[in-house]
Amino acid sequence: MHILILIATLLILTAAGFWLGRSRAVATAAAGRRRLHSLPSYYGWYVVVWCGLPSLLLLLAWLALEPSVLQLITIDSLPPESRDLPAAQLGLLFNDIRNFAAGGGTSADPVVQAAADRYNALRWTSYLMLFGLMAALALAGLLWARRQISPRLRARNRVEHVITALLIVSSVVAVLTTIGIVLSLIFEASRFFLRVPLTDFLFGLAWSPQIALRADQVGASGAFGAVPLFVGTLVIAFIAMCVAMPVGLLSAIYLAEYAHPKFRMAIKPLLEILAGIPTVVYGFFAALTVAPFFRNAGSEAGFDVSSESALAAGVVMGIMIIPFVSSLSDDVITAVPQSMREGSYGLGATQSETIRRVIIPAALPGIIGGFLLAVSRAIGETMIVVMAAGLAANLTVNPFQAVTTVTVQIATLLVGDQEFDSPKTLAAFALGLVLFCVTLGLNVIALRIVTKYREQYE
Amino acid sequence: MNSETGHAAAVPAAVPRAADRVAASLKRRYAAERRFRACGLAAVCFAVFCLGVLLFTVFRTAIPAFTQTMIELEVTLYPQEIDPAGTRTADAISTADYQKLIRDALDDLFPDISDRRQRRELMALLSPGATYTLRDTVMADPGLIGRRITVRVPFADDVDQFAKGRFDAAADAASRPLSDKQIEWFQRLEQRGLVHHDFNTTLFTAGDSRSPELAGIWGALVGTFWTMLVTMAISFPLAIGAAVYLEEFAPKNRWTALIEVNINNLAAVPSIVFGLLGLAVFLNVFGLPRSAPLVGGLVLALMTLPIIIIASRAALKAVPPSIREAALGVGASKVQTVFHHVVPLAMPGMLTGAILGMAHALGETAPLLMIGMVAFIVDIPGSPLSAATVMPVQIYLWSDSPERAFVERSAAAIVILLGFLVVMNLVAVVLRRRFERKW
Amino acid sequence: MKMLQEDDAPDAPMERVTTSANGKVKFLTDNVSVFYGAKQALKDIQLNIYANQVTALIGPSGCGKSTYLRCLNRMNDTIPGCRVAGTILLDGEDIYSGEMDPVHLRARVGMVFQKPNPFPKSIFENVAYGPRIHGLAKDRQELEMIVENSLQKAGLWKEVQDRLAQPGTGLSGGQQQRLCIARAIAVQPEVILMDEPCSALDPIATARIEELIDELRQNYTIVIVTHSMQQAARVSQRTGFFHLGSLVETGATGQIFTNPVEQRTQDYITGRFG
Repeated sequence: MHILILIATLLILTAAGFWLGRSRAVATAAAGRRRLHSLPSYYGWYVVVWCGLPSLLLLLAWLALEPSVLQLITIDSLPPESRDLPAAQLGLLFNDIRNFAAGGGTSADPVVQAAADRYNALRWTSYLMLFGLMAALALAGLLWARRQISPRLRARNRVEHVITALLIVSSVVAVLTTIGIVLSLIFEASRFFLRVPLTDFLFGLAWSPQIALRADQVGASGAFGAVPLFVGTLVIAFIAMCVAMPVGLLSAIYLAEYAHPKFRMAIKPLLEILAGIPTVVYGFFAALTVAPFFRNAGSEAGFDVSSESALAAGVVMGIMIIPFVSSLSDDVITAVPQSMREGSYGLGATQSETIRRVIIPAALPGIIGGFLLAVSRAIGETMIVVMAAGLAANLTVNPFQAVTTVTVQIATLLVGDQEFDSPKTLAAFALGLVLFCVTLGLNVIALRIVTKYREQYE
Repeated sequence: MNSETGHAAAVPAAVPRAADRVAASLKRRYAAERRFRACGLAAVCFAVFCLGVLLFTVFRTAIPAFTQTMIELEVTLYPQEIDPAGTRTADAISTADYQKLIRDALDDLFPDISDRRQRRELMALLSPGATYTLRDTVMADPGLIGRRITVRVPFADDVDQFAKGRFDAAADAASRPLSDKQIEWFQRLEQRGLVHHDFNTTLFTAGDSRSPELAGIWGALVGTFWTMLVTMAISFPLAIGAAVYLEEFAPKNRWTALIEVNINNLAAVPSIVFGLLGLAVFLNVFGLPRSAPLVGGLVLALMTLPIIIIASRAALKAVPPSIREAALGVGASKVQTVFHHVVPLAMPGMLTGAILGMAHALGETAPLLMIGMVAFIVDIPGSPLSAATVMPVQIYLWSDSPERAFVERSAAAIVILLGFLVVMNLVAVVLRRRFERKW
Repeated sequence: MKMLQEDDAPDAPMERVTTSANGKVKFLTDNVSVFYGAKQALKDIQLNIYANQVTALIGPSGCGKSTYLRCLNRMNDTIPGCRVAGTILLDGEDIYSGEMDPVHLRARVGMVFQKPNPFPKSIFENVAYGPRIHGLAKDRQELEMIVENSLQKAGLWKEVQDRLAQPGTGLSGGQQQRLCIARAIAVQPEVILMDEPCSALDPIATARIEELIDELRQNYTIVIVTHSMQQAARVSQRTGFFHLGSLVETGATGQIFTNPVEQRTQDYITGRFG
């Protein structure tokens, strides 16, 4: 918790800076008999900005870079025979060193022990350096800003500029996140595609990501044909949409057009509950209730339903998406102008004729947009399929059989012990890239359709 | 002109014809109307039915987890067994062989069993946690040493399940986890009034464990707390900053349009992709520790960011321009206008959005699997940097376990998680109701 | 059943139809009041509407003239909390009785709204909508005939005959309103209700619609709500003046505009309020 001390020190310094700046502003104004340009507290904040901001940035940069720098130095100081180990083993060794350094125990291996001690010493030095630098930077900023203070200083404008800059930075974080996602996926996936050709991945029909432990091992060379995964994902998403689309749309229609306001007030929160239930709970429901139910019902009816059938996962996923489809459809249906309904009733149409022949066609783009968003959600959903669908990469469209999905494979490939360089791990990123591209494409199209639709009736 | 009169002549004849056709179609059309309406109602009922079944299943599964079958044992704390040297130091007391004491106490209850194998089977009725319970009791009060005390220790999970009627004594012996002998012994204990069904406090105070009867959600709850703390500390200020900038300051140009599109799309990116981001960037590039709430919090913060931004922008939009004009009119700067007037007025809406975003993050599982928060962690995490797991992941882990007792605990954890979510949503609703105003 | 209807149709209305010096009474309104929840929007309206005439309803906004119009084809049924008391007879039949079906009624009493509201479909589909739902055309050919006829009657045929498949929302405002009139005519109604049909249109389009109204009078009974007294004077044969939910005065249009009985009518048409 050394960082807390750093931050506390910084807080004390900035608080002092605020007070100093404010009182100096008041004092100079009184001495020079001039009116201050800004309120006194703005001068205080001006000092705070100069005192706090640079050292805060330093702290963040330090924290981000410290681990890699320490690793470099530690590895550099290892005896040559350890230093020249292959990268993977070196990584393991360094992990050992770090664990011993953190745990404080004694290691059997003198090399590790020495390195761990050195690592700890380095960390301590680094911390002291950081502390010194931060304090110096904060003090320098404080003094410099304080010297600047005069009644003519446009403190408010300066502070407001800083605030605006901070606001811009926070709005850029979302963009940086997207860039981070895209870059990390592309980078790791490209490393995967160096080992497994893109066409094998996209069009291969066999998926078994095990890698041979020994070169002479049979039948475990690893196959990375993702088609079974894509098919499995689509089968489950299709089943989900078969449940969610009619139920969601019809219930939205009923609630928007037919239901008594009191009924609607009672039902809508229930649907919101359905939307707010965590996916892991749906997964629990799918694996422990729905899947056994389908298996038993199937064996009664003479079907062989797998206990990890696509049907169970798909149906539960559909239930999860019902409120999503229903609320999006509700929005677009209520956005259809009342004059459309009146025009239809005025011609003697019944309510259902009005809904089916006027309102739904008018709301169709919005409804389609909503469906696309729902499909994208079904494709990206993880926990239900991890818990209820299987791991077996069967290439089948039979809903009674076990299939696996893209998200299931990403999760299983990355959970547990993993070395970061194996194609098995990197395959997860390739799958992630496909998932990201597909859902992004669906979302972009859907959002564009929905926006166009909203504009039409505004 | 000719055709005009032609129409006029034709129409009086045509009018009743059209009206009759309409009248003739009515019955069919009203039937269709009723069918359509019934479909709508059926859809609503189906959705509500699913919700009902889901909640019913979870609650019914969860209820047994809140009780634990305990045995009342009379244990004699022989000083020569616990602390032969008589030093009474904590070290000496904690390393004593409590298992032997328990075994002796249990053997006292069944003097007729002498066979070694059978005695081992008898001991298997009790949870391995029984020794810890006894040790903790003695550690808390060393004065007990030398006395004969009564302690309540948990049965093993199989016995617990049997007591709760999960499997039948009549069932095939091979298919049930308890032997005939064990069932008979348990029934004898029951007859002697030594079996109790106590409220399961372990569930709320312990961390994870390999034995269901010793496992609790406290570790996951604390992990969730740290994770949510990090998430909130990061996403709330960033989201409000971004919303304020985009809504109040941003010029309308291609750059801000790009940010807007980007935020809308980010809200719909599958959560597992955020997990991949966390793994690649936070763990591999920045070298942050695996399984740490700090990383989980960061990932969830990035995930909830767009949700809170969208809600906050809606709240800012709802503040009428007249407020801004009034403030600007008395000479406030743009920043002062926004932070003195607009943001406080929009704050309830922003908070509502933040709470809903947090509720979303609270239930999220998939991205946390990617960054190693799925490990088996017994200790209660002490800081955002120690290894931890969170409630939804704990639910996932337990429901994946083969032991039936873990499944019911997993349901109990769901009930508790849903309880938190309900509270958060209620707070959001109350906030919205109380501060909602129509301008 | 069929026999009964054919026997019924010519005789029964004949007996019940009331005629007066002004012609055959299409709508007879007796003592009609309308409530929106607790608020009373119309008070004790007594009004006759005569067949094959244009009846204009004028009055300041919020006076209840639109509410009255919407009573005539029970469009008020779609507004929650709206209650109608009193009697309205269409050809002697009580339109608020249990036997009268609102769908059937609206097929007989068409409506054109204030803002043109073509459905987001093609021009053809807009006009074909009514005949389709009511099953008025046996086959595609007959449907096409009805559409063409209706568009011709609405004076729109020449302008749109080459682009029937294009969306109705792409037409100009005046064209859209004439499309809505064609849509109403296609159901072959007996009465057409028009709720300020020209308020969203420019003067040229308005003139076109007014001409059309005059032509349609030959075959239909027309009730038009308008805020423009000039329009009422131009197109109508009879005028009713509404004020604060009551019908102040009704009579031949010429008489209302030149020699009103009531002081309030006089004040309104001379522009002292409204």
